[in-house]
Parts: sequence; structure tokens; C-alpha cells
Amino acid sequence: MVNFAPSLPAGDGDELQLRRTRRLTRELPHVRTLVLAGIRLLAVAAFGFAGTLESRSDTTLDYSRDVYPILADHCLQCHGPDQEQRQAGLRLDVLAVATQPLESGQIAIQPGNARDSELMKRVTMSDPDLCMPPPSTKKRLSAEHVQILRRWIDAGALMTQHWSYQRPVRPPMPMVRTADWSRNPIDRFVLAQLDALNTSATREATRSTLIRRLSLDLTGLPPTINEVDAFLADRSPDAYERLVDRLLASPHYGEKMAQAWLDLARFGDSSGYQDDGNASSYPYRDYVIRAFNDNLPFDQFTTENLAGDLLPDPTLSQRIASGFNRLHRSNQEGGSDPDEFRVIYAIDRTNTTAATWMGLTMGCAQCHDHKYDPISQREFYQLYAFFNSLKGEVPITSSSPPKVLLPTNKEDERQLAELDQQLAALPESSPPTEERKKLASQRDSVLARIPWSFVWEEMEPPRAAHILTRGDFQQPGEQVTRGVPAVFPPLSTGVSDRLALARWLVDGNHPLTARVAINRLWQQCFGVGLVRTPEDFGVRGELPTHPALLDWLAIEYELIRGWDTKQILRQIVTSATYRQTSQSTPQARDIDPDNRYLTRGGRYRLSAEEIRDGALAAAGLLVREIGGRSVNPYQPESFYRERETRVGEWKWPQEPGSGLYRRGLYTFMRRTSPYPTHQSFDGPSRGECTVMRPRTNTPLQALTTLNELTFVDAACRFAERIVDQGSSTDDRVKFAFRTVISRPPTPQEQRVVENLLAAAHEQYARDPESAQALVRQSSRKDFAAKLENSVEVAAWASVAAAVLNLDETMTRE
Amino acid sequence: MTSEAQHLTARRQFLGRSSLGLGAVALSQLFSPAASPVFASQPSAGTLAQTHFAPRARRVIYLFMSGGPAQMELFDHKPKLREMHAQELPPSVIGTQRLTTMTRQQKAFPIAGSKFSFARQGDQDLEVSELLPHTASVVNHLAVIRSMHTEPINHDPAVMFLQSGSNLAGRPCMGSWLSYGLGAEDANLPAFVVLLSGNTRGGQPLLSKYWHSGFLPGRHQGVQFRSAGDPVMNLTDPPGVSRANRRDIVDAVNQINALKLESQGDPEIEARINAFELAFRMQSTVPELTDLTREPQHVLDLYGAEPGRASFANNCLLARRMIERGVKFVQLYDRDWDHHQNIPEGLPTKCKETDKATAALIHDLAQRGLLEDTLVIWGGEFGRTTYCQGTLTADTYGRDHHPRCFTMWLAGGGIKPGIVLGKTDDFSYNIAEDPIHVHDLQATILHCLGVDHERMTYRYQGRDFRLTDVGGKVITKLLA
Repeated sequence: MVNFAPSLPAGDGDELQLRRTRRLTRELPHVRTLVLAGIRLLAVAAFGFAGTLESRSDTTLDYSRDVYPILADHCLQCHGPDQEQRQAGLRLDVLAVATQPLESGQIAIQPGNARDSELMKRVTMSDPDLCMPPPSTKKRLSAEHVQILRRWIDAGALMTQHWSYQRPVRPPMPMVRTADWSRNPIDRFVLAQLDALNTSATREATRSTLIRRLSLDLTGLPPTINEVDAFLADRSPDAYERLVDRLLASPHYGEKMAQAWLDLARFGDSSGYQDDGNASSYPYRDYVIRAFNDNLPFDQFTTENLAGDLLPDPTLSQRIASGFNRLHRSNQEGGSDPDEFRVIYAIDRTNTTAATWMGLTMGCAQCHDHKYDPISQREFYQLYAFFNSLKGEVPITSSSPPKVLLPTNKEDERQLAELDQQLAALPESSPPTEERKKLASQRDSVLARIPWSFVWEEMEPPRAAHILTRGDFQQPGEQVTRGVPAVFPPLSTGVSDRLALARWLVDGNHPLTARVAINRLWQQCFGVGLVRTPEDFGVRGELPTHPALLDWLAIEYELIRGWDTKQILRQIVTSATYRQTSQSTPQARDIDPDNRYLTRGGRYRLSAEEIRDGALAAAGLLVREIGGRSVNPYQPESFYRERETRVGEWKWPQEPGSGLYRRGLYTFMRRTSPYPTHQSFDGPSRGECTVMRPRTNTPLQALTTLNELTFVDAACRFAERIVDQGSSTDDRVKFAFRTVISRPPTPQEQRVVENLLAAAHEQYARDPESAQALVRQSSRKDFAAKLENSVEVAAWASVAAAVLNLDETMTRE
Repeated sequence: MTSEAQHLTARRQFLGRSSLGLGAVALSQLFSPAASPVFASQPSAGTLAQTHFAPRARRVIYLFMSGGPAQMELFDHKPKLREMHAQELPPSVIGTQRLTTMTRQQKAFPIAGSKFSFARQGDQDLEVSELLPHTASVVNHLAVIRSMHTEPINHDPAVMFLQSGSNLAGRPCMGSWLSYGLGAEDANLPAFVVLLSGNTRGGQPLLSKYWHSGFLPGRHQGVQFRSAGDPVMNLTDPPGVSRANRRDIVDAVNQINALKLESQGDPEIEARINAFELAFRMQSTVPELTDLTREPQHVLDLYGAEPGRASFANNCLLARRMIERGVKFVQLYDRDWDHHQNIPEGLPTKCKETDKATAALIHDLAQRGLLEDTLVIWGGEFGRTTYCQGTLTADTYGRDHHPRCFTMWLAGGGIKPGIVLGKTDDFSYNIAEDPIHVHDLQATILHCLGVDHERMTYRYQGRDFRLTDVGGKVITKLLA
């Protein structure tokens, strides 16, 4: 993902910076649960009106939306949850403290009386020694901020607990104006907000768009022409639903789901630090694919990943799943300290678990109490304590036990057993005897052939955990016991092990797990989640665009459907909301520029893997095998040379055959130098848990899809396929478009392509040698056939390349 | 009709029919002949509408000596070490500091005096090792900091600390921050470029994360220009595809994309049209940029550069060509400075490979008037120990990692020339005066570029991040 500054606007992370401003100007009031004196009230506050900045002064302030961000940005560094940093004993995010007299006798907040509240005096003061925030912080409250604080205090200074820490409550179905648009409850929630905005949903996408969208969203692959034709011809009322069912049953569904999960699991094929040697635990990857294909309920999937080893009589598959906590990078650098890295790994596991299941950024709390979220440093290390007792972790190497061997044939198994036996029979000696050395090296070479997977095994008794001062492993402080942050419900059983922790996440009482999981599924179907900061559900994250819908879906997924992922996905993609066209009118963009209110379908760039897979599929090259060892497709030989520790150490044995054309999911992931094609399209390096990939738009991507060997090969092979479609140019162009983007060209597009074809044909007819040079790039084995009508194939290769490089080709519409 | 004429006709016909609302991109430009710089539009602006104060430097060349050069062999002369050679380093000097596991178990910590002699150079009588005769000739331009210190003790985290202000993965590197904050000067080249010396001996691996944009948008990532094969990956058209043919393909793609933009309205499509145009232009600007044969022989000789052979010298010359063309941040990495063993052989080799070109770069920039507003940075990720790693013999010694003190130098835009800052103790083990933390250095670098390090931030995961993490103060003593 290398990029040039001039690549222009929108769509990437710069947006994050704008969000806060936008939030104030655009957000509608939401359905919100308030906790007041322990009574849970459901305030269906929202849907009656459209809120804008202009009308804001007439509206009720919402603490989370309007007040808290001001306090967080300007005050909480010194007057917030972090005990160490707290000044003057004042804490502004807890009403009970903020309303107490301070040492000075002043009271920061006097509910109902802004004028006498010390907070208001300080933020409006000009004396540099007394005004707040202090001038040294370079933070200033705007007049609008001051006004909001004043109104809030005058209105009683109501504080509510952050929405995501409260259990979702199943919201009532909202009333809507045009109920007939709705296909299922999801649509009612969406429509309610559209009604409030005085706008409406858009029309349904065309059938060819729908099948391409569904195929990409559920399997990551575009549909074939036959699949498109079958769907277009199927006029039965449930044609769409049956298409959804077919795709959910496809073995490629598991691959699509696994891709996102492996980003969370930071799955790679190498150790990830420094020398970055091979360490491929690929059976874990295959376990994930299988689990999704088998529709393993998410609660079971969770317990297997976090604690498969602790399940009663764990199956091999459950043990492999427990490797989730072993997939972090591991350092083999000379001189690194095992104690230091043992801590680093346990912290990584803690953060990854928090991000994956709770959408929380726990990392802050490893050095100090969290500045914004109610998670203390002690609580961080209590959670950490679940993850610091791996058996056999020293010395640290990528191949360090425990792992499970998975021989693929009896012979390897037999040889290994035999060698183990022979070795066991030999007397121990130091230095080892020649005999022992010989047997050991034989054993190593057998082992090198045998697939393996990291697993977890718990140390008995568990290692003690300490609060680490400033996160420094050399400064262990007070010892802590395992536990969960107090803001959440307590562990449900008396036992404090990882299994209890896993069950705690999915037992129906945790406020975050289902919301976070459903948000990811929504993101998979719309490009962005209902919470647009999927990495942060905490107080600094964005509020959900559709809070009631999020909660309704969370409860539906967790409690009603028993964590049935395929069922809930089916519900999402069969909604009218999902089926909308992604085409937008200037008016729609004006009302809803970021599609926050779902006034249209999502339109966004495909992932790195999907772009490459799509080109291979068009060329007829894609190998649709599931699972197996990671593969090495084309990569320039010089790519590793300038980087690796010892020249030639990083091997990239280019696949001799079909391995070149496996799906991107199976491409070998050298974490410090990932496959360049994937990197240029924002593929992560899997060094740490990745919750959402950015989507950039850069010249290096264009160079990749125009010039990289896989894409050149694909364009040539695609040209051969096009030429085989009969002699009519119309038919051929139509075939090219329908293969790649599932629709025929428009007359204007047809003309552009014909002009390109004519120019290319003229050039290659004039210079047949260059035509031959190009078609030689095709991996077609039959050389004579390859060169046969090379002028024609080369000319069509220009068309093939153009179609494979269209914006629409790389986009899910 | 020639193919070109056909194209123009097709374009005109197309134009006649269409009524695209292309925003910044005028349709007539999109369909204009290939030769004209169709989209040589504005280079992208940075996030900061303007710098926080007047910048003294507009661009940076960072010469990173990966592995950690030994400070007491190059710039931090300690005669006492030679006097006490082979004696045990007093425990009072070592104190309670952490050592790496490579030497922690050592029974003895014998002092290794430098084998190399030092001479006073320049107007300030700065002591420079005999290993750097060329650098010695430009010391009047340099501000040498002898009192740098850092936190990590291993390479990977220490490089990340210098580059990103944190030893954790996932934070943006310095060049990415500048690309993000200050934007690019030229629409045809990236703002942040990375050059690796390439050598056949290996060394500490150079990892993509050392020029990664972390949580910043991916376009701020450093673009590695390679010394072998295509200078930028996939830059060359496939065999059998002529430039005219490629132009036709890109035109067709962009025409269809423009139709799509018209009907669909997604501004991302316009960004993609721009990206394809820039890609096409780069295919000619980058080879021109990297073609060192365009330099006169006396300049090649000055650097010791040889066109076609990967070297640090070539990269120094390339760096000059890049900043001339508007690249904002050129990051050079030179490997194999990790001398755990055999300093008497290894270090002179490294100095020979880099000294001449380093001095040539300073000299050349100064001569061209570029040094005034170009900041040049030299240094590694940490220093090396006073005590010998392994056994001290009559001929040889090695040194372990040492984060407690090391030397870096700065030169050019905004920096006071010809000064020395900071002092270490007699053993070059602890800092005696003016400790400069990595965050201070970063704050000072940003200051030279007109940026207040506390005010260039990016919100991620609910927190406002900055290059200097939670620390850093500008070192005014370094400023001109």
C-alpha cells in the first residue's frame, strides 16, 4: 500500500479527522438507554425530527453526544479516570465527584446552576494562571463549547453511562410512514430514520448488480456468466433468497469469512520480527474456513479460539483453534530478553482479545489507567493474567512448543515414531554422540515435511501476574489475580480460567460481544459498520448511526438465533436496505454525503485478495481448491534481496503450477515484507490485530494491475478466452464485460473499447513481433497455440487489460 | 487516418455528447492528447493548512546507519578508554542499567579503547575519527549531538522508536507524518521515498514497517525505490506493450471510468482516474529521475557513484536529484553497522562505503544552495558499549548495543552549523551534559520544518497521536 500524495480525495482514513466535526453537524438524536439511579429506561427520543446544528439550540442536549466529547478533548487528561494524572482531586466524568466541594471549597459542577459552578468560571476566565484548560495545553474551548456546557449544567448536568457499556435492550419496532418498502425488521429501523430526515430509500439495484454484490460479499468471488444468466432467468418470487442460500452454502463462503477473521487473529506465515523466519501454522487458517463453512455458532467458535484446550476432551480441531493466542509475532533476535517478550506477547493477546470481542482499545491501560474508558491499569493486568501462562514459552522461537504435529501420511508418522523411539533409547550425553546427532538430524528432516499448528497449553500452576509500572516488564508492581473490568458483569462461574473468560464473553450478559460481532458482519455487507469506528466502541469512538438497529441485531444474533452467523447474515442481505442501488443522485449526496443513513447501497473498493482473485477468475486461471499450505505466486526475485538478514535466507520457491493461481487468502504471508500486490492494495502485514483495512486509491495500484506478472498473465489468458467466444466483436466485448462486471457494455463503452481494439490491432499488425512478445507472457503451456493468432490475441489483450482495470472491476457496487 | 487522429476524432465526438461534471478534472483535459500533462494537477496539500511557524527547512534527507555505529570510534573521542584498555569497566559506571542478553551473562566487562586516532577539525576543533576523513572536511556544516539517548535496546524496536516515536508496531514513520502534514511538492513524485543501499553481506533486515504509515492513510507510506529491476515495482510495461498502446489502454480505462463517474457520482472514481494518469506519467518521470548517467562525470566522482551498481553513494546522489524534483522526505537505509565483533575490520569497511558520499552530499547541497532549506540527518538507532562483547584480544574487539548514549548529527535548514552539543562521561557510557531524547530530536526536526510537534496530531482509536508520543521538547541550542 504504497502511495503517492497526489492520489486524491475521499474514502480513506483522513476522514477520521473530519468525523468529529461532522458528528456535531450531522448526527441525529438517537434512541438511547439511560441509566438513572439504577433504573433502566428506554427513551425512544429520536425519530420525530431532523436535528441540525441550526436547530440544535432548541433541542435537548445529549450527554454522550454533545457534552462528553468536549470534556474528553479538553479536561479529562487531568480530571478524568487516570488516577495518577488527576489534578486537584477533581474528576469531571463522575457526577458524584464533580459535585463535591474541592480542597479550595469550590464546587466544579452545581447541577442547575451554571453561574456558580467553578467549571464555568474557569473556562471563561482570562487570567492565564487560573483559566482552564491551562494555556500550556494549547487547547481552548470555543464559544459554542462553553454554551453547551452552560446549558447542560443549567439543565441539571445529567450524566449517562456510555451506551456500549449497557446491555442492549430489544427495542420496539419503530412506526414508519411507508411500511410496504420493508422486507424485514432491519428496514423498519432504517426507514424510521429516513422518515425523520424527510427523505426516502432509493430503488433496488439491478439483478446483475445484486448477484455480483452478493457473490462478492458472501464468497469474495465474482459470479460466472452462467450463474448470472441463471439468476436473470429465474423469475420465481424467492429467486433472490435461493441465491443467498446457494452462496451461504458455497465452500468459498468460509474463505471470505476467514479473510477478515485472519486479520483479527494476526495470522501470518512467519515469525514477524527481525529475521522473520518461516513459521506457518496454516492448519489454524483451515480450521477457521471450516468453522465458518460448518456454521459453527459464534459462541462455540469463541470458546474454541480462546480456550479450546480447556474444553473437556478437546478434539484436535479445538486444540488447533486454541492457537489463536499463539499467532502473535515472536522475536528471535539475538539478545532479546525472554522475560521482556513473554510480557509483550501476553499484552498482545490481551489487546487482541479486547479488540476482537469487545471493540476496546485496552492498550492505553498497560501503562496507566485509561484516560477515557473506565478501565484501570490494574484491570488491564487482571485480564492479562488470563494470557501469561503458556507452557514452554522459553526460549522464544517461532517453532517453540507447544504445537501439534499433523502428519499427512502414515509413512512420515511411522518414521517419526521410530526415530523418537531410537532417540529415547540412547543414553543422554554431553556433547551428544555422533549417533544421537545423526538421528536428531534425520528427525528434523522428517519434521520439516510435517504440517503443524500452534496450540495453547496452560502452565500449572499459572504464572503470577503483576501490574507493570509504566508497562515496563522490569518494574513489576503489585501482584494481581485474574478478573474482568468492573464496568462489565462479573465472571459467571467461580473458576477464573480462559474458558470462564470465553464463556463470559458469550453468555448473553456481555454488553459488547454481540454488538461488536454484528457490527463486523454489517461492515462486510455495507463497507462500514453501524459503528463506524469498529476498533473503538469506547467513549472516544463514534456513536452508532442506527443505535436501535444495532441493538436489535445484537439481540437477534445472540439470544434469538443462538449465534447462527449464516442466519443473521441471511437476514441482513435479504433486507430491502441491502438491496438498494449504490448509485447516488446529487440530492442524495447532499442530504447524506457519507451514506450514514443508508439512503443507498454501499459502494467501495474490493480487498487486495479479491482484486487479484477476480482477475484470475476472469482469465479462467483461478484454482478453487480449499485449504492447504500457503503458496508462493509470482514475486520478483530481487524483492527480498535488499532486506533479508542473510542473502538468500528468505526463500520464495515460486510455485511450479496451480499454486500460482490459488486465492490470495493462501498467499504466503512474510509479515515484515508481505506480498507486494496485496500490500499495494492495503493488505495488512498481520503484525497486530487489524479490525478494518483502509481503502486507498493510488498510482502504484494502477501499476500493479497493469504490469504485475500475474495480471499480465491473466490479461493474456483472458484475451485467449475472449477470442474463443466466436468471431463477432460485439459478442466478444459483451463476454469480456459480463465475465468481469456481470453486465454487458453500454453503447458508449462499446465504442471506447472498439476504438482501443482498432488501434491495438493496427499496431500489432504492423509489428507482429511485439504481439508475439506479449502473448508469450501468457502461462498457456501449448506454445504453438499461443503464437497462432498472436496479433489478434495481443490486440484483445489490450481490451482484456482495460476491462480488468476498470474502476467498476475493482469495486463492489 | 492514423491511429492518433482516430483517437482525437473519437475524443471530440465523445466530448460533443457528454456533459460530465468532473469536478476538478475537466473533461477536455481527460480527452486531450497523451503528450500533454493531462492531470499534472495540484500536488496534494498536507493536512496543515499552513505550517505553525515559518519553516527553515522544506525537505529532509535522513541517512540511517542501521545496526548502530559505535560513537566512541567516530565522533566521541575518549582517550581514557585507551589508557584503561582491557581493564574492567567500573560497576559504578554501568550502574543498574539493563544490558542485552547477549552480554548480560558475561563474566567480565573489559574496556575496549578505540584503535583509531582522532584529529581536531573545522573552526570549532571538533574531534573526528580518522575513519571519516571526508566527513571531517564538512564539519563546519554539521551540528554534532554526542548526547543522544533512546529507550529500546534491540534493533527492531529501536529503529521504530526513532522513526515513529514508539517501539510498538503500528505508528506512522517520520516521513509519513510529513507527507500527511505538509503534503507533496510535486504531483509526479511521492512525498516520501525510501532508498536501501543494498549490499551482499546482509545485516539487520530492513523491514517495510520502517517506512510504514501506520494508522495514517496508506498513501503516506514511503515508496521504496529499488536499486535492482524496476526502480518502482511494476513500473515497466510488459513486453510487447508500446507506450502508445499503453496510452490507449489508460485512455480507454479512464474514458469508461469517466462515463461511470457521470452516471454514478462517486468521487472515488475521479481519484482513480487521477491515479491512472499519475501512474502513466511516473513511468517516464521515474526512469529519468533514477538515471544517474545524466549526471556529469565530476559529480559521479564526487560521490563515488557508479550508475547501475547499487550503493550508498548512488543513493546519496539520487537523494539530491529527488529533493531537487520536490520529494519531501528521502530516507536512506545503510545496513551492517551492527558490530558485535571485530570492529577493527568491520567499521573501516562501513566508513569507506559511506564517508565519501555523505560528505559529497553535504558539499553538493551547499554548493547548489540547497542546504539552506534541506535538513540532513545522520545516525543509527543506538550506540555501542564501551566494554568489549566477548573476549578482548590483542587484535580485535566487538561492542554490544548501547541505548544510553550515541552520536547523531544534523546539518542544513534551520540548524546551527559547526557546533557540538552534549557530553558523555569519560567512558562514553553515560550522558554528562545536555541529554537529548529521541522525542526531543523529533520535536526539533519538526520545528525546523515549521511544525509544532504537539499540534500535528491524528486521532486514532479515540486518542490524538503524534510523532513525539507524550514527550519531546525542541532543542533550541541546535537552532540557527
